[in-house]
Amino acid sequence: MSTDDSLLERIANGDRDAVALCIQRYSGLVWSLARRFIANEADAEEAVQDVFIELWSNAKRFDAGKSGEATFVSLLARRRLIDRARREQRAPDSQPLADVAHLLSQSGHAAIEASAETRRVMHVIEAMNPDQKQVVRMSTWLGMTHQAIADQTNLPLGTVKSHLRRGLSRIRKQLGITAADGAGT
Amino acid sequence: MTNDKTMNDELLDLLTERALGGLSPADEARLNELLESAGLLEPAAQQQSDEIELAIAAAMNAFASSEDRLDEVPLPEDLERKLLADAERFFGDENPTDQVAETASVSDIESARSKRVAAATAGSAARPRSGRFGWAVAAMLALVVVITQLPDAEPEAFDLAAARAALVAQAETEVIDWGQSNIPTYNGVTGDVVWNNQRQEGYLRLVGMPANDPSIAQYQLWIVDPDRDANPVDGGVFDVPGDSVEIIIPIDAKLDVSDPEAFAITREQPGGVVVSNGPLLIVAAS
Repeated sequence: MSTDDSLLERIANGDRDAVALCIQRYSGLVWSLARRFIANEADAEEAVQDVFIELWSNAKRFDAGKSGEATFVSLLARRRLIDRARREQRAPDSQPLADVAHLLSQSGHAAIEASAETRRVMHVIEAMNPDQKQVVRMSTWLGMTHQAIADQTNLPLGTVKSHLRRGLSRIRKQLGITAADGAGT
Repeated sequence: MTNDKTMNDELLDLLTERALGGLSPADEARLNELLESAGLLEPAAQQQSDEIELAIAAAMNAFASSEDRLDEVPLPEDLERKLLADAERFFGDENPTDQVAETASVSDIESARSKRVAAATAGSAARPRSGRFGWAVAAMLALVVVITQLPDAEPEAFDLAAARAALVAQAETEVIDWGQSNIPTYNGVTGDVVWNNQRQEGYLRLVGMPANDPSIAQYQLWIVDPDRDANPVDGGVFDVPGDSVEIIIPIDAKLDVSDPEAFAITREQPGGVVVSNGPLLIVAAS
């Protein structure tokens, strides 16, 4: 599925040289995500270290048939960052884009830019209608709750949920996950 | 049919909301009710959640790569070095029995993670370092690390612990506990100072010492020896990595010490200072 070099598979197979490459490739991405969840720089650094330990612990779990490597990295990073935010009993930051876009580092951008999977997902998002795209962006990128999105967009809460459900379903299909628009199917 | 679709939509909405950050107790109860009605066991629901999370992560990456970047904040210079040091410890301690089974769910990671975190964050003094990633610092990341510290504690950590133990076994060696600091950041620091006057050799053992960023500040040891001089003797500068629980630092007294009464640590500019204005972060007094 992914055309990325799978550093995580190499790490899982005991290739220690891939570890430094993994740090080089993804530290910027993880850093940019950490800064979105954690305002304090020292705490964000600690979180990045935590995320990488998580990555190395779970390198064997990466399945190139299910997702691209950058997606897997972001998934684990996001989980760890949410756990951390919950432990500290605060919600992830949900600043406006103008305040957070600058936090994306050059190296983080390079890592995701290189992912063919990311490009395909971008095409899927671009093809969404404006409301759906906005809802998916506000939820996944800005970390806003459904209710906050409804309040800001003046869309009914049910519409926000359905936009998000359908939007993520389209992305799942793009990822090759056979997700119908219903969980029981 | 419509009812089934409505139920599936609601179920997927709740799974999505759970993946996005959590459900209220009422929503969690409703989710369980729907899962039961749909005949979905928790593993199947978890798989759905995993897939939703992958989609969320993919969307995050897509937005991250497409949004304009202004005034980017670069990766902290020291962070890559810390990550490489973490890798040294993590893979140096690798134990196949700690690996998570390959067939486990992607969400089933906590147990293995806890073990790994414990291994990677355990006292840096307890493990030898292989130096396998050192090449990456120089060749790949072009990261310049200036270590003004006393003999680099990390690669020699294991030997330092042994050397400290050997010194403690000497009859003339004095062991002094660190007193509780009045400074909140440091009042949880424990450990001791080991000093042998005849050998002019000693070690600091610090547990819970906050990490420093060597590019901003370094710790400096001072040896108070009134018999020798009114001014304390410089005992050397050192760093505490972010991942250390316990660290052992050899004392590097710049002058001979005759009868030290106390040892104190200050935080100074990189490279240390000749005369410190304090404050004394922690003190061990005999």
